[in-house]
Formats: sequence, C-alpha cells, structure tokens
Amino acid sequence: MIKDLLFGFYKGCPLVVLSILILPGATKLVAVEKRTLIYGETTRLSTFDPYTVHEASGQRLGDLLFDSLVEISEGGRYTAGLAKDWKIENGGTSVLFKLKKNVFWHKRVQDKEWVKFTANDVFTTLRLLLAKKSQIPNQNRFDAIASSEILSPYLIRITLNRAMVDPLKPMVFKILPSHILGSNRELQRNNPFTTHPIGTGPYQFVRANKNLEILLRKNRRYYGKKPQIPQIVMKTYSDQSVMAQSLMFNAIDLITYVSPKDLAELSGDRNINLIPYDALSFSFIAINTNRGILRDKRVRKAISYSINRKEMLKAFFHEKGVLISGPFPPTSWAYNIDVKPIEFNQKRAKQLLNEAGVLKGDGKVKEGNKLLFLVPLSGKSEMIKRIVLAIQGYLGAVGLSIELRFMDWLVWKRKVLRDHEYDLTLASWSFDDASNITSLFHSKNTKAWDNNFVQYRNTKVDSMLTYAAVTNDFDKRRAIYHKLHSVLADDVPYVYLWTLVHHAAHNVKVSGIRIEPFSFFKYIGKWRIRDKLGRDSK
Amino acid sequence: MDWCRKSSRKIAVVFYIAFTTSIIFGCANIEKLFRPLLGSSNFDSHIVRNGDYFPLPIKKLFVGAILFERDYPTVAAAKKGIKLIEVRRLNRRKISENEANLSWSKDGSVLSFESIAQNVRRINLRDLRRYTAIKELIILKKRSDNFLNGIIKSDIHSYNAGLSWSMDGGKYAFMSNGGMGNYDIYVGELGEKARVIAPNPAKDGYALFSLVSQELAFVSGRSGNGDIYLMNLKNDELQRLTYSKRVDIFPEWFPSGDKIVFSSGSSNNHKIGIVTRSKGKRTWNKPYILTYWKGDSLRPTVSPNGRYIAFYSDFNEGGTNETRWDIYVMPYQSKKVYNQWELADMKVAEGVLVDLNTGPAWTPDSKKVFYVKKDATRFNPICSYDLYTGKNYILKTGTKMNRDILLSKHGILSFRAQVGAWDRVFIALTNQGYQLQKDRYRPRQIEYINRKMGKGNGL
Repeated sequence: MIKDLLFGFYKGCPLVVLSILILPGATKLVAVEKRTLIYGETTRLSTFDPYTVHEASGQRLGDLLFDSLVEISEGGRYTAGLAKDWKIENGGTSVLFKLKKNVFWHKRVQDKEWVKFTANDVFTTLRLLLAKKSQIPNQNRFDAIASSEILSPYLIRITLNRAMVDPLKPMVFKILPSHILGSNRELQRNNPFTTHPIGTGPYQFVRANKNLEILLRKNRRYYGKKPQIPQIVMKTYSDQSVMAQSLMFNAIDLITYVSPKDLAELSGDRNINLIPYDALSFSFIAINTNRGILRDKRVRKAISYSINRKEMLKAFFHEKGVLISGPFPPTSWAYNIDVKPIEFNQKRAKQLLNEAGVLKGDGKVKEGNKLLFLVPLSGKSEMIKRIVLAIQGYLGAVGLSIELRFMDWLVWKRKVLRDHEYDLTLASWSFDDASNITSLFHSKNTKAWDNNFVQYRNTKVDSMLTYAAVTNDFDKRRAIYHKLHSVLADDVPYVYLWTLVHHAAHNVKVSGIRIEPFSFFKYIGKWRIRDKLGRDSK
Repeated sequence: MDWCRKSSRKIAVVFYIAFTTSIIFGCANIEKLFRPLLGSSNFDSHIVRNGDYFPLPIKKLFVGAILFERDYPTVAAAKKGIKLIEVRRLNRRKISENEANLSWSKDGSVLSFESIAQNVRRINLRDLRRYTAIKELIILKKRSDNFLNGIIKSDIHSYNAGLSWSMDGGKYAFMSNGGMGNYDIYVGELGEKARVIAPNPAKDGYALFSLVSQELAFVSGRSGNGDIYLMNLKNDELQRLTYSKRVDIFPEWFPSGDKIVFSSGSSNNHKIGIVTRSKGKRTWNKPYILTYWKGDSLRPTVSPNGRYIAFYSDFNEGGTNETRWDIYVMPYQSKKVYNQWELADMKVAEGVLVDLNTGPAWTPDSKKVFYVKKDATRFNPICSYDLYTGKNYILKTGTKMNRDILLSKHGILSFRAQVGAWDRVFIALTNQGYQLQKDRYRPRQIEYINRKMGKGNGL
C-alpha cells in the first residue's frame, strides 16, 4: 500500500527516482519505506497550513510541520519552542523574545541553501495573522496582539493590546516563513503555500496525492529532538469505522480518534493500544434565561433534574467521559468538587414545575409554553440527533414539550448568537486554558455575537468575575472561582452535561507514544516504529 | 427389540446434542431453542392462497398479519406496492444495553442481534417460530496453557460479532476475540462445539457463508493489509482470494456461490471489486475492480437474484466539500467494468445513512432496495426504492434513528431504532416476502433517479 503511494509520488519526478536507485544508498530506500508511520484522519483537508484550515486534523498536521515560539507543556507550563528565552515586560503588556539561532526552514527542491529562521519570520507571521483580509477561521483569537518590533535578527518584541495576567497565552502560534510569504499582504486559501507548506517542524511536507494521502519526511536539520520515524503518511477516510477496521487489519498504524461505537472492538484486540486523551471541551444545554418560563430558576432547575445524563453518557459514549457540574474541567483548580452534578430526579422536576405554575392539572405544560429547541447540524456525526431525541423524551416525561428545529450551522449561529431567538440549544465550549469564564457569564457580554448568549445576568457573578480577572493572588482567585462554580450550578444558565475522553488507537508496533490533547504530535520525536522484521526505527 | 434399540439410540443422540450444545451456548434448555431446526416445521413450505399469505408462526407473532389477510383477500391486492403491516419491539426487557447488528438465518426463522455493554458484545438469538426467550450465544474463553488455569475465573466476557448462517441453518460462524484479544472466526454446528478456523495472530472478521456450499469467506489481516480468504469447511482448505495492497473488506457472496464482491481501498478511495471462481474448477480467478471513479464505494450487497450490486458511494458530481452518501445499483455483467459516467447515472437514493453492518437491504424479489434516509427532521426514517417503477416509499414505522435494516425471506423487516437513549431491535411485517412477491423474472429497465441510463440495463 505504501509502495502504491510512493509510486504515485515518484511518478511526478522520474529523474529523482532514477538518481536514488543508482546511488549506493538505494537499498536503504526499501528499509525506509517499511518504517513509515501511516495514520488515519476522517476530515478531508483542502489546505495544509496551520491557519487557513480549521479542522482538528489540520492542527495535528500543523504540529508535525510547524513550530511556535513557546509551547504549552504538562500542567499548562510554557516551554521554549523557537524562542530560546523570553521576558514579560511592562506588567504583562509585551513580551521580548530571544530566538534560537540554529533553526532552518524545510528545504525545497528549488532551494540551493538552507534558509535560517529569524525574527523577520515572526514579524511576517503576525502581519499576516492580523491582516483583515487573511482567510483565517476564528481570526479573533489573535485580537490580543497589537504589534511586533524587530530589534535584531534574533530579538523581537510582541506587544499586546492590554496587560494580561498570562501574556504568553496568545504567543502560542505557528510561525510562517518570511522568505516565501514576505511579499504577501494577506494569507489567502488559494496561496500555493497552503498546499505546499514549508515549516521548521520535525517533519517536512513532500507531496499529497489525489486521495489526499500526504507524505512527510523527517526534517534532518530539526533543531529539537530528532524524529526516529523516517516517514509519515497521513490518510483520509470518509468513514470512521472503515478507518478503525483498516487499523485492525494492519493497513495503517494509528488513528487519531476512535468513534465511541468502535471502542469496544478495538479494545478487545491485543494488537491495538488505546490512548485516552481529554477532549478539552464540555457539552451543555444552553438555556435562554431571558425568555418566557425560562426566566424562572425553578423551571431551569427542573429541566436539569429531568435529564438523565448518566444514562446518555453510558448509551452514547460507553461512559468515556465525566459528568460535570460547572464550566470547568474536573481536573482544574477552578473546579469546586463540593458542587455535585444535579441528580436525575423527575419527581423533583415535576414538583419544581408545579411550584413555578407552568403545568396544567393533567401534568402537561400550559398553552404557549412550548419550548423552542434549536439544533445545529454540522459534520457527519449522527450523535447530536441521538442526544436531542433522548432529551426530548426526558423533558416530555415531566410534561415539558419542546419543538425541535434542526438547522444549518451558520443559520444556528445567527439565531442563537446574534438574535437570541431560541429557548434551548445544545452546544459545547472548549475549556479555557486559564479557566476564564468571564465572556460566558458576565452581563456585559450579552450583546449580539457575544459569548453570553444565554443572556445570563447576575450582578454578584459580574463582580466576582471582575475581581477574579484583576487579582494576582492565586488563592483568592481560586476561592472566587469555587464560589462562582457553586452560584452557576445553582442558577442553571446551562444544563452542564459532560466532558468527554477521546481515544487514539495504534498498532503495538508503534511505541513511545505520548499524546498531549492540545498538541497531538508534540512528542513525535520519541515515537518509534518496528518494521515487519521487528527492527525498531531507532 | 430392534425398535427398542433404535429408540434408545435416538434418545442417546438427543442427549448428546443437548449436552454438547449446552456446553457451546452455556444456556439451559438449548434443545428447546433449536428443536424447530431439528424437527419438522412448515415455516418454509407455506403455500400462498388468496387470504392466506403467512406461515402460522408469523401470524402468531404479528396479529396484524391476520387483519392484513382479511383486508386484502386476493394475492394480487396483497402484493401491490409496499405495505407495512405491523411493527413491534423484538425484546421488551428494560436493559441498559444497546442492541445492534442484525442477521437472519437463511430460512428467515432465526434472527440474531448483538447487545453491547461497555467492552462486551454478545450475540443473541431469537427463534421467531417460538415464544422462547432470547438466547445468548456465549463463547467459552479460549484455553491458554499457563499456571493460572483453574485459579483465575474463566468467565471473561468476549467480544462476539457478525453472525452468519449456513444455507441449511445447521452451521453458524462469527468473529470473536475469545476473551483473549485475538479476533478469529468461530464456526459452530448443532451438536458440536464451536471451533476456531484458520487461527492466526492477525485479525480475522466479516465471515460469511456461501449460499450454496460449506465455504466461508472472511477478511484477514494476516496478509498485512486485509484480504479476502476462503475456508472450505469440508476439508479445512484455506485459500487466499485477493492480493491487493489495499484493504479488501465487506465480502458478499453472489447467490450462485461462484463470485464474491467486496470493497477495496487504501483510504477514501474504495472501489467495488469482484473475484470469480474458474468455471468447473475449485480455483479462483484474479480479482478485478468493477467501479472506476473518484467516489469512495462501500459495503456492496448483491440482489437475491444475483443480477445487481447495490453500494454506498460519496461520489459528488457537483464537487462541494460536504460529504453526502448515495446508493447506486449496478447491473452485474461478466467482465463489465463501469466508468465514472456510467456509474454517476446509476443512483437510486440520495442522502442516505451508511450502514456498514448490513449495507443497502434487498427485498427477496430483487426489485426494491431498503435504506435509511439521513433526514434530521424525521429522525432518519426507513425508505424504499422500487427499481422498476422508480417509486420512493417512506415507511411509517413510528421509530426514530433507524439503522441496520434487513429483510428476511418472509418479508420481515428487522432494524434497530432509538428508544429513550438506547438502541433496540424492531421487527416489522411487510408484504415483501418471497411467498407473496415471487414472480418469473422478466428483464426490465431500472428507473434510476436521474433516468439517464439507456436501454438494456435490466439484466
């Protein structure tokens, strides 16, 4: 199979193949082929750079091809990437970076010499990221950065728009090459660079074929831990289960995501290892606290009581996740373990609905109180339909009737985030690295397109959020967040559902694998693969 | 004396069968479950007359069958169109497990399905001719020769899936890891202990019995990338049928038992491949690809008359990024290979849910294809397409999030659907059974949904 792929690659450059074959090293080529890591993804990428693509598979590919100035390591610590050292200045309004000198850009066929990485590359990257016409999904994630200033070829200052408690957070972005993109005003999807990316990362892009199988070769001048696997091939599958079967039939070596329905079969195969990693996000039912009966906290609480989250987690995700009681990861310092997830109790739910006076004598909701539940449809997954169908059943059992309205993702965004024309919806947020939830619950963020689309207003919560954002005393901040957690669980602007545990799976011939959820291939330098004869890539 | 000797031998045989099957299945009264298979039954020999369309066991199972016979007193009226007679849950027990992956015995009398809990997947059997409870097929843990034998508990649950029945209903095959982490094909027979065939450390799966012989096709990873193998159970001869460097998966027999169709691909580029038996010989010809186009083509199923192959494909003529799966039906002609332009015109359903467990479901008369429409507002209803009239049907089963559709010989539609948060198995009686629909085959032109096909495709 890999030979097929390589043949496809070589067809375009027959002279190169010939020169390899007649060299003494030609026999090595076969050995190299055998020690190729083939991994599977399920989203088709149209571009391969780290910015114009927004799929997670593109981010993972970006980890192999590109580097950032600093990286986030275990426990949220920052470690050096392309920057050798850094200094936070002016109370967190700017950061001065001293860059590494022994870093080279991947060499293209037409390049005569290896091009060095300099401060100019950082400057160009930031210029492109901040250019309004650049086609970068979620470009507002770079809003915190104001400008950059080159002080010397290896010294650059990046200034922020305001003082930040954690000024390194916005600095975790991949660096693009100035010698290729320097003359571009913005980064467009049709730029040839997006399909022939050049980075400084541990692997170098070689070629993609018509099936979007991407061949990468190790960067032999990589400044960091040198990779031990000579080649990597990324394959795209249109079905998750077909990808899982390909892994079990030994056709590929690793899949980055295992669908819950395939987990049991994969875990029953002794040739396959499963690696759990946090999804780094949580799912919830958003309740528009500014509409009809939902203004009443008792009704919101009743909704929360009526839903059997434990059963859904078991039925849909084989219990590969954790029920949560607030908007933080259970492992976070901000999570208050004393606040327990609301138990499934439909009797209590009915009692609360009766107290709120929304039910008629027959136990059904009064006329005009039907709730509008908007459901976004995006991607291939059927899971969202399964979840809302179960929720409809649970709410129906306590007398609440909902009108489910499925809609395209963009329409959903307009209806929910801009117009706030909904009662309930299903959504998920990525956990904030710093557990900052100000944008989600502060009453100043209730305007169109703001993140507080549940229209939650609580002056007590506002003042706690404001105080927590400015204090540098960690203990105080933690105490405030624990209190916030308790208030937000009691007020029920969200029905907090769960945070999931995802799984990657690999053949046992791949070893040394360690996965960071925010940077899948971060430790690729330590990965090894055995060939058919059992020889290690090391 | 003679009579006495014969009787005692019969009793001994019955005891032997009961004893050995209880070892295999680990359930009491197993003999009761399989008595119909051992004894006589009129299930398969029902003669259809006006006002009498279903065998007695089906009438006992579906009250609606009798009403249907009353409402449609003539065969001509009863067989017209697609009629959904009655829908019911197969298993009314309240259990916290999902049910999936259905399979019918060849005579349509036994339905198997799998129940899934955590990392355990069990195969359950339900004999529709009897009101017996659902029986579980338990695989004993494989013996491993180490000192822990007898010390540790040996009831480790195994992952068992993909049950397939032999033509005579006497043998069954399925994939199991035996509780030991190595997926093999197990073959069992009434009165015998299930055994592993062609054991290998690599995964074996997707076992499927030939419809005419004691041959079993399966997929094995022993070649390094998934290939189709054939095991002749008469002499335990193993043969490798495909040699591609791609993954060859989802094998499906032609009813004649001389051809196997499958999906072959290395990523999002699966084609439909076929391997045929050399005429009059036991050897097999070199496999070849039937579909040459850009689409990913998955899970082919062969019509019961062996003339058509239905499969899913995400081929997208418009070229938008959104993946949409459609069903295509391709007439099979020896050595005929289809190109993109021909295939693009062979679409029979759009925007469907891909069901890798069962594939597009054929009616016994090979005239209709059943599938699940990917429709959010209706929560994925079951639909059917009549190949010859071009008529589309939406079946009002009253169920939601349907999957794993199959039709038995007698027209019982089996599927799973979501009840609360769990997937449950349903059965629905239709008028699509062979006994009502059997008709002399007359070559006709398929009405594809874009109706661009020329004449002469109705093979």
